[in-house]
Amino acid sequence: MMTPTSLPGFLIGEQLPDRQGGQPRPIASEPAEAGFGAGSGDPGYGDSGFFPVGRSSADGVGRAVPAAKAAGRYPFAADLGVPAGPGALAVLYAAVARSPHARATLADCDTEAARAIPGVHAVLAGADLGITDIDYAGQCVAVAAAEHPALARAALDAIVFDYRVEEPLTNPRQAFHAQAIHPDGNVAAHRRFTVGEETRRAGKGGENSGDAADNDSAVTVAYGYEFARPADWPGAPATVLAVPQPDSVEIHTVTTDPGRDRRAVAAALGRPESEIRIIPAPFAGTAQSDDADLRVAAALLAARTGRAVKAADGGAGLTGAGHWPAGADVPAALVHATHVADPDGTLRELRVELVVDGGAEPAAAEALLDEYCRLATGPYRIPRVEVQGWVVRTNNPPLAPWPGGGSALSAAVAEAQLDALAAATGLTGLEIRVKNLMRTGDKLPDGRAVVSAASLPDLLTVLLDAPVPAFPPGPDVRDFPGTVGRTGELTRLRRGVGVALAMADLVPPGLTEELATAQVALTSDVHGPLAHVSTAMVDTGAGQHAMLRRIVREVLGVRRVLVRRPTDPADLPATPLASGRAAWLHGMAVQRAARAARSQALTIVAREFAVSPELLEVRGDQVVSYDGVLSRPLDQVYKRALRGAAVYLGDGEFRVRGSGPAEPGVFVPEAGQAHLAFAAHRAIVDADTELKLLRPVRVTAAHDAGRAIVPGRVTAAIAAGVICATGSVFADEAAESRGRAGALAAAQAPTTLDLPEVDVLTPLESSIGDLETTALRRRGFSAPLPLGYQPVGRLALAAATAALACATRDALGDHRTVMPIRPWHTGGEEPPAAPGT
Amino acid sequence: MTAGEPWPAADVAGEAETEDTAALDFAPTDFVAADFAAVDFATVDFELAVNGTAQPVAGAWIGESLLFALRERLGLVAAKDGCGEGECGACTVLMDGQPTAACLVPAVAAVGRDVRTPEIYAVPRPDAVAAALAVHAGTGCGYCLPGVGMELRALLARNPKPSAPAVREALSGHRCRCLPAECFVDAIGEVVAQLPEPRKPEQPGPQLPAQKTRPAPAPPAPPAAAQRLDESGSWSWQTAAGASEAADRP
Repeated sequence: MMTPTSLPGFLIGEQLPDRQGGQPRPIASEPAEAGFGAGSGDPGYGDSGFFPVGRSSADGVGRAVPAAKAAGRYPFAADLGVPAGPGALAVLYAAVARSPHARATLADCDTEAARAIPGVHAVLAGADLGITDIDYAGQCVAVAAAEHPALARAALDAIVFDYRVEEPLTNPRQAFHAQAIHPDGNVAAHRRFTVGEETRRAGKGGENSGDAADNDSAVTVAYGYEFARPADWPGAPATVLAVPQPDSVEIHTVTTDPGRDRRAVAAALGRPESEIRIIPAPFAGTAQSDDADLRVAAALLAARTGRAVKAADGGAGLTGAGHWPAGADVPAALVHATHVADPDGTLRELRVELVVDGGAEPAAAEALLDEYCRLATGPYRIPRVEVQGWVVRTNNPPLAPWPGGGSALSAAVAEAQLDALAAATGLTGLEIRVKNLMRTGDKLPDGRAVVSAASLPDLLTVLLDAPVPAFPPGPDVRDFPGTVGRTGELTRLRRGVGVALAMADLVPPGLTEELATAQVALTSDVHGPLAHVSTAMVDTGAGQHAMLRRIVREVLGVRRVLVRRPTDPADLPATPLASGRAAWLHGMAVQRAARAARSQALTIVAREFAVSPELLEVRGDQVVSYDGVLSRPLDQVYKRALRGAAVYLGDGEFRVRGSGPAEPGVFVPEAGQAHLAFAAHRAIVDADTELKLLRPVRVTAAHDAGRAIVPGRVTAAIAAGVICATGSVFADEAAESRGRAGALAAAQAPTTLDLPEVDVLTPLESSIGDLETTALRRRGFSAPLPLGYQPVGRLALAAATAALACATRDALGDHRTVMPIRPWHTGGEEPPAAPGT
Repeated sequence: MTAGEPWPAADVAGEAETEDTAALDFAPTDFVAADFAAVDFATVDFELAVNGTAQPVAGAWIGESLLFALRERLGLVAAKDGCGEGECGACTVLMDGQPTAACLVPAVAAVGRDVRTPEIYAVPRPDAVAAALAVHAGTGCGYCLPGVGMELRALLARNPKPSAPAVREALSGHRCRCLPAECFVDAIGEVVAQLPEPRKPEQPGPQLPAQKTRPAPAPPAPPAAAQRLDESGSWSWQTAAGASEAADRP
């Protein structure tokens, strides 16, 4: 039973519930939405008299949480620590001072005047925080806690800093030849992948089209693309509330990975992990995490002052530092791409060179570079590929997680290049894409073969069948480019259409190991059976917990499922999960835990059926044997099994590894195989070609969702991806203000009036999802791929970014290469396309 | 605060003037630095009329925003602190019926005004707007929703049947990054459908009948049921699929 089974494309090592590991041990846990109900262990915080007491078990797409959100009762971290009614301020307020210099040594800071201000409780600056060298503008240099945010800011302003300023390196182009700003040098990483036969090449360098031109009649398209630092603006300032407890510090913060963040805070404070308690707070906006510095500062100040400390950052309100430079005025990614095709449009060769500005902490950008290099072709067949890229270190702020990652960058470049190639060969954009579509077995730049590209034609077909909005828009002026104010003119209106395909790598080969664990307890109370799921998965508002509840309901047939989180994150170990794999790993872990609990609960009936309990499943209101021959009402079975407050505990875990031998319970792609997920988007953009006004009209999204466990969640994730992509493609007129961070006014993101309509087509459910119910199941195995393995949100970002940019180029009739596309800069003011490095 | 209006009955306890006004650099942070290093922390006592109740505020800093007073002093946290500079709309409250960014209004300037926060429309029982937002816009992070609700209430007060572009325009001061605008258009469509037919026809102007972007929304769940979800499950044996459909429906 434990032998790995080989299937086309991947190995499955699935285990049946492991009895040798001993009985599962119940772990301490609490309802995942504890703050919701002003509950226990929360004295004086979170209860403003409006919270319905005792609420728990909530998820993003049920009813209770949306109702609380609409009513303003949902307890974001900033909403905690307020008095229950009219009264004195309940907490201390912390503020953060940031370095105005990009590169400097902090020789000394004098905090005497700051400490002398009445109402200021603690001031920590420079060496107190372990900061001596400034590596980027905006680096945290001091924190202060005071009885009022204005006092905290006053304290920071009263600190005298002695900076020894040095010449910063802020242009990634100069990083290669500039003096090293770090002992490790300015180049942090280099990757090079080649596939296919070397063609005739004039020499190294690669960007001039001369060597391809002598290659009889080939069509060559070469452009340099620039991408600004991602401006993924959170909806709210990061707010961290730290509450000192007798034996620990409780930190309310936004986090997707409480275990990892607890380790980080403990390490930064030099305290044991048991003294740090991280309580995941609801997410606000698209930020995936609070600033790590802010957590440490809040915890430190709380420990120092013995009072609850609310630390806010970003934004001009409360204690916000206002705006600080974000380095967005220099491009964070420079890509030079050369596509060579036959005159009939068949792709022959691709050469890409890219430079990613990793900022002061370039290690985090290596994953972006890796992902770009592996996906550089886009979902197209290109026989010869040469990709190389570098991550450089500069004095810019560390690169934030790129929305959509390497998928989004590579899709934006590949699709732009295909449109340019279509223009050069006289084909339509659709023709050239269909002609060169990737097929199963094609090679990626890193040499891996694609396991299945079967869904690509289907995605394109459903996309093209979707209706388009009427042209011209109107008659309401608010449907025109420019909307109110400077409105586009009907006679100058041009509609652009862009189709883009994007792909994402499910398990990159370099992945060491990702792990998620879960525990499910099946029990009953006076109302009937009840399942508790303990998980480390955090609900970001996109319905993650609803998905887990749905999985448990399907496996157990129990209506009431409560999601809980472990009191101690170490009880449910999990490695950090990369974006796009969290739903898959946690979903599978929960499914396995639920199955383990189920087979225990069904032991009695299995004995009567004379089959193994693992071969029984719940279908509707019946317990059915795997072949459907034997069945019994679930009601009856559970009433017997759950008699006398019986509890059935099941542990589940799921591991993914990039390479290595297959083992039971671990998903490992077969060596040299690549599992890809695909999406196709079509964007429609109207432009007034004279006033240079742009208006994204509609984005149509076709996705392969694998198996949509909660369809509403899939749709929401796709729509959020499209909205976020719109912000990264379009920027408003104030170009110079984009280089500032910490304030929404600087974001220049499109408003509701300019956002496109999002049309999410019913997701395809790819054949791989069916594996679970077919032959494998009969043999007692189940495929580890089905649940939630498709990173739809990430793909939506990638595909929508590329499609919107393509549509904009089409509408303007101009091959724009600088992202975000600034409508006001369409008239040739933009810098000329950089000829690479 | 408009000119000519009397200064609210506030008790200026500290020294509000700096010694050398001419020497001040008007960068806001410098102002604060000079101010605090040199003089006392000026505080005032006043009373705000919030949600129809007089709420005393004691010892507030004179420069404090209405949002800070509402949230941190009165515990009314439904209006959210977003950007702090009037861009995001999360802090929207109604001041004398007008949607106002509470982060930009000094608390002392709200004295004598009728301030309404999202709480009054949602507690203990959500009104039609809050209920419709929960149904149609529940999948996002929800940070902007209370502010969006205030804006939509103000919109409905001046335009009982807003078109889709009118809704989008009204919400253009609200930066929702989770949901497309159709969700809010659908929500307000549902509210309009519930309201009694207005006497006057739709007001003149560029508004057109609302474009249907999605099929007609399902009637909203009764709020009482929404509050009791999950815990109230009875010992009933629906099919697993059917039960989960029912419980997961947004």
